[in-house]
Amino acid sequence: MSPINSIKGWDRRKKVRYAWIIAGMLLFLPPVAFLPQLVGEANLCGKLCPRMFYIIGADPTWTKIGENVLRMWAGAALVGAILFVTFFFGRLWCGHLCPIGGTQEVVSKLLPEKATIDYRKIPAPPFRYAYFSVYILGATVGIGSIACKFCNFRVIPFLFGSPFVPTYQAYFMTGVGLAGLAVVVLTGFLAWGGRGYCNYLCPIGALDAVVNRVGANLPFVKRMRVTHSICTGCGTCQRVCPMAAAQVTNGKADLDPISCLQCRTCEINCPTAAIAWRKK
Amino acid sequence: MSAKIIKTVLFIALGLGVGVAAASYQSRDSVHAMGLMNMGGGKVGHPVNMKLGEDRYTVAASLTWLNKKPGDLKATLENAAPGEAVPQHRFMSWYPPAVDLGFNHWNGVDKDGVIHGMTPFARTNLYTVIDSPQRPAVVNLVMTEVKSGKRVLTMPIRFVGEDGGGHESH
Repeated sequence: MSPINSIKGWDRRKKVRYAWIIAGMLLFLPPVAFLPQLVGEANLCGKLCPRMFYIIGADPTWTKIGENVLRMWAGAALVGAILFVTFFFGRLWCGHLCPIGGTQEVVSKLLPEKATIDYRKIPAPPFRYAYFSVYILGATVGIGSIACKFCNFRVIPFLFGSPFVPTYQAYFMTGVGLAGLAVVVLTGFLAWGGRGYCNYLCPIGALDAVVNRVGANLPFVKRMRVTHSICTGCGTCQRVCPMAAAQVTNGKADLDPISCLQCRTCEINCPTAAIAWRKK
Repeated sequence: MSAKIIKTVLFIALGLGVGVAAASYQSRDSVHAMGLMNMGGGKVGHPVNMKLGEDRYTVAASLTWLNKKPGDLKATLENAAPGEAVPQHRFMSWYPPAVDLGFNHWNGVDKDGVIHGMTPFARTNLYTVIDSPQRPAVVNLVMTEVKSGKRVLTMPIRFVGEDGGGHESH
């Protein structure tokens, strides 16, 4: 079957999600980088960096933290908007619009499944928050800062921009550029489902997952939820979830909101339609 | 202790270990540097040290222009030791973007190392790609305000021997 015919056969929800991901790439990534250009940036660094303003530095003071937020005001606004939307509607950014996770997922899906690495045996929450704690506090406790070193918000925009802008090519000729690329290839492009970086290393994902988990308790917010009276415990959701968020226990499936990306893959594949994006 | 708790503790340890390894990693051939440029001579955020042994080095500098008026700023590299040769180098920036939508003035650097009309209080990125010096040396990345000829920043870049220490911020 040709790729076009294969896409024609997709579920409408899957088509909509990939349309959002492509829109995210066009809006955020070079060569166009429409939204970065709106705030005076050419990529997701500088004012639009969504990952550095909450790092507690080597010599933390409230003034310095405030200065960081001001310096990266567009990134802070983006993260604020992401978390606000997540609280009320779930992880629409991570699952639908993020151009970085989206690119990793698209590349991974283009590869033969045998070429991918399945990281899902590693339980995500303990690893993710241990890594995240070093990300936030590494410089404060004197270990060093992770920050830009392995940042896929740097590597992927630079990859998109490198055919056009020599500075991006120069970055990939440095040790730090190659190390960043290696991490993105291993945990993104080669990860089964393309979401290894998102699940284990992404600091925005770590924050977003907590907000998703907190919001999930409220009756008026929509989340991916399982109707246990319909669920047969067949395990399809567990097999297809790229985040290892679906688990079948005692014959019924459950989705863990601390890992669920809201990609709706489980919903689309559930043979009894027991999973839906709905209120409690 | 149940198997689940042991597994959780193990993966917390793994996450911490990977985090510490990532935080400790230092690239030998590139460094991020920060500088504040002003008419008083400017200020460097932290020392920039590189260990010799690589073919080429990249200094990615974030530079802020602390001045009320825009200015043309010229980047040059000079050897701190008078009369000594300056290694081959070139200046680059990721501004302007490949497709310029025309919303902004971009503080990019031209082929002569000049940033034209640097926006007041704006930050720009300047990549300096430097061929390795033959022996330990200090070269200065100098930013000069073209109109007045005043130096607005002098950033020493120390190329030291294998045992000379180093620094990388992020």
